[in-house]
Amino acid sequence: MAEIENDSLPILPPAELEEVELYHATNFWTKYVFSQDAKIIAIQYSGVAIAVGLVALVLSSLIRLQLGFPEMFDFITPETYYQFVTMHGMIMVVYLLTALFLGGFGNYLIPLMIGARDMAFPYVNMLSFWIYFLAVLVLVASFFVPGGPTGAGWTLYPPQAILSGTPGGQGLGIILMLLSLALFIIGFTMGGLNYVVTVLQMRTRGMTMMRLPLTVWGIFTATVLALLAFPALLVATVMMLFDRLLETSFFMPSLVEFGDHLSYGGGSPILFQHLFWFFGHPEVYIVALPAFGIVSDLISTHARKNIFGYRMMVWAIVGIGALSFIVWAHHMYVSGMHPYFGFFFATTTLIIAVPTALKVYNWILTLWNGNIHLTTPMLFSLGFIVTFLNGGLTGLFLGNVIVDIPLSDTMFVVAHFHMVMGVAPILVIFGAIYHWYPKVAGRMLDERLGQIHFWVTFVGSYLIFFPMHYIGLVGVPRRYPELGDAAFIPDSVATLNSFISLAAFTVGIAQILFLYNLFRSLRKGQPSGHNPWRATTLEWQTAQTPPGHGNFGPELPLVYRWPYDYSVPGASEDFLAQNDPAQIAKGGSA
Amino acid sequence: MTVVLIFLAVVVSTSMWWLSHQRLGAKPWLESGLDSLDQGSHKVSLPKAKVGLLVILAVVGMLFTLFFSSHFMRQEIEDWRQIPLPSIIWINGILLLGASIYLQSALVTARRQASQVQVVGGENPVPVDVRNDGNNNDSVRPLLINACVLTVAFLIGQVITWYEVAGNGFYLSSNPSSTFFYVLTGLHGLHIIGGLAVLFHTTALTRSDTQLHKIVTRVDVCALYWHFLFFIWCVMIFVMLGWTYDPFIELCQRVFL
Ligand code: HEM
Ligand SMILES: [Cu+2]
Repeated sequence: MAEIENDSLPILPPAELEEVELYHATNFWTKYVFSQDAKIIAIQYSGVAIAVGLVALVLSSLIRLQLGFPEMFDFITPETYYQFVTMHGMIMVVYLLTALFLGGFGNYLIPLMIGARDMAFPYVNMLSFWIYFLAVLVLVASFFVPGGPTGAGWTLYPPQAILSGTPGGQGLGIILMLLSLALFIIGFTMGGLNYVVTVLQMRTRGMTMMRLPLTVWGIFTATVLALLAFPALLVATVMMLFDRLLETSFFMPSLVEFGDHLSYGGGSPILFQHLFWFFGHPEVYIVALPAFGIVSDLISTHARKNIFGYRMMVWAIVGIGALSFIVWAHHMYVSGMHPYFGFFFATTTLIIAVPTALKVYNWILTLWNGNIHLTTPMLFSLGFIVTFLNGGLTGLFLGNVIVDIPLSDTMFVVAHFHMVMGVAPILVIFGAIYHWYPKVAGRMLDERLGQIHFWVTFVGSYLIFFPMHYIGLVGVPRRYPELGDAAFIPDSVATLNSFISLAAFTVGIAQILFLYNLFRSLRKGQPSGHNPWRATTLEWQTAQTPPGHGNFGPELPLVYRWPYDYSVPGASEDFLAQNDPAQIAKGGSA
Repeated sequence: MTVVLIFLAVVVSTSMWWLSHQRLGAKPWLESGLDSLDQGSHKVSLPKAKVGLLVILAVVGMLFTLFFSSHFMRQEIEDWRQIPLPSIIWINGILLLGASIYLQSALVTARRQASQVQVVGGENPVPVDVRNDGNNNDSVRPLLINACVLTVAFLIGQVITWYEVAGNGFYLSSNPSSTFFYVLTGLHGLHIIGGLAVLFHTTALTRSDTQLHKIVTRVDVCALYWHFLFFIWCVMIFVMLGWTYDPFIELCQRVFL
């Protein structure tokens, strides 16, 4: 154990940063609507994302209505079922999770946590939100056009995506979907530019990269991934729009449809799959890395213990980010690829499990012997670890070519990805909202409602997705509105399906509790004070709660320590804020 | 996707190189104090706008690389017929190169002038031109205007190229080769137009007696963007001509064989 004493610290002037020209709102419109303040933009992003996420939640209930009780509801035809599934998947992944983690949490937390007054380019930041909003409007509009939204599946594989047999394929549905995605990507790129440059250039004095809270590391790395991965989706959407509207043949092979020879020829559907998954796999980590980061901070704060292996956690985030670009073809094992390719991608997939597992160990070691407060954020974090572990284990199955081939396109896959990128990140989002709501609103969310919300959501999700693994193992395919009388499907599947649906409705309804809590606490919640969780990071040390214009008072905070000084022996309190200049001799541990 | 991976490797190794200067091996839990970790890890000492541009270049580079990759994959399929490109593209290339060079010299000039400007006054520093010959921006402005003119000429040249290709009977959906030609040049043109908006604005700023140091960063950003787009343009032409372009192959043969 090394003892390191610090010399007495001179009083230093505040950060020598480039002078920031803070933008000043003059009226209601520029203050709350076309605001350039990252905190307002964050709330706008979150509000829109949650609203459109509710649409996706309702769609999932409709899907479950059909799967649980087939042939009972006349308004769900196979076509509408495909539309529900497609829109549900796309909204959840892109418009809810990506937008909420990066646009919502990123905007709110980055400037506050690194000790900056705002984002680097506030105007571009505002544009980013409004373009995102436009993308959502275009997406929602597709529900109301003749023929309805696209039913191509969230993967939008050609050629079926733009043929007449697919709902919305020859109508406006697919066009609006592609346009909306393109808009989303442009809007996101503007936001992402801000997040990256802000983290690189606007950290306050003393805030080195290795003193950033893991939340910021997660969001930062995820943003870099997104900036590099989304162009692949943009290229794919642009090419598909050309194929659909101008009869080019990027992806479309020569085809006969209802006896007509279409004008397409020679295009490569596999090319689309490459482009799509070159975006699609990193997308998993775009959602997961912020969740990793946030959960590390929640655990540390609510267990009053420093995060175990901070350095390793940072390296793991960066390493996972880099590796996530060379595993994409594990989504294409059944596309007829060369076996050596499959071998390569199976190997990289298994390698990426190493840093991921390391993070799980570190969380558990952080909790070990911690002073665990079972607050709602902590419960959600624990729920995340269990769920992520679960989804990660089935991921190891699916990563291997020979295991994946029989499981491909079954409900097993659906169960797997819901565990790992559906339920797990959503649990973190809930935990994070319970954690940071007091900073945003100045009031606590109701703890008892929170606990009920947690238990119903957590147990309910397991009741939904655990049996789904079994359904998949017996061979039930995904994206089938009805199963008919296939001999290989035992009767128990139908019973289980109804059971899963009931669980899904319960979980869906439980979210009303959460929304109620969210709105009620705005007025009636217990006043929280500045730092209700007694946390160390800078956002809790602001002069005002909610933080005012410019985030901090006249002087930016100075950072004297890393963000995890909890229960430091010898300190007067059980936490030392990052801007606390106190000097405590500390023992070293790895 | 090989090209994409190569490009990605470049971006990733640059980021890793930068990260490796951030004392990733530090033990932040042991060190407290304002600057104890700061030594050796400096914030990127570039203006925000420049860092922002570098990020944008990585994204735009990725976008084009993905298109190039798709081009390579698509041209393997047997319906591909390489279209000939009219020779006016070489003139276009020279125009764009010219604009790039003008911007670079504008940058050099602006930097030199900015370094000759002294800041006087204590409370409210005012930049004063030590040479005292009136408008600072006199010599930068014509260079910027030339760059604008050449870039607009480049765009016109590209449109003429489109007409010529179409005149030869190659329309957007005639053949994948012509599809890629229109899409790639169109995308490149859009990026040029976006850059022109900033360049026009910068040029307009030099009309009034704006402070020089504000111009320098802007010119710097424009110049870098133009060099980048010129580079992309070269790669793009190279990709589109394929290895099938006879004069090119001949040249290679003459040089290497
Ligand atoms: C109460 C919560 C949820 C329920 C009950 C649910 C249920 C379902 C069901 C039944 C399917 C379609 C199965 C099929 O026929 O192929 C599905 C598809 C999908 N879900 Fe969820 N889901 C929920 C939440 C989420 C979340 C949070 C995400 C975010 C990642 C998500 C992402 C997806 C995706 C990507 C698909 C695939 C769509 C497609 O096949 O094109 N879901 N979901
Ligand atoms: Cu994947």
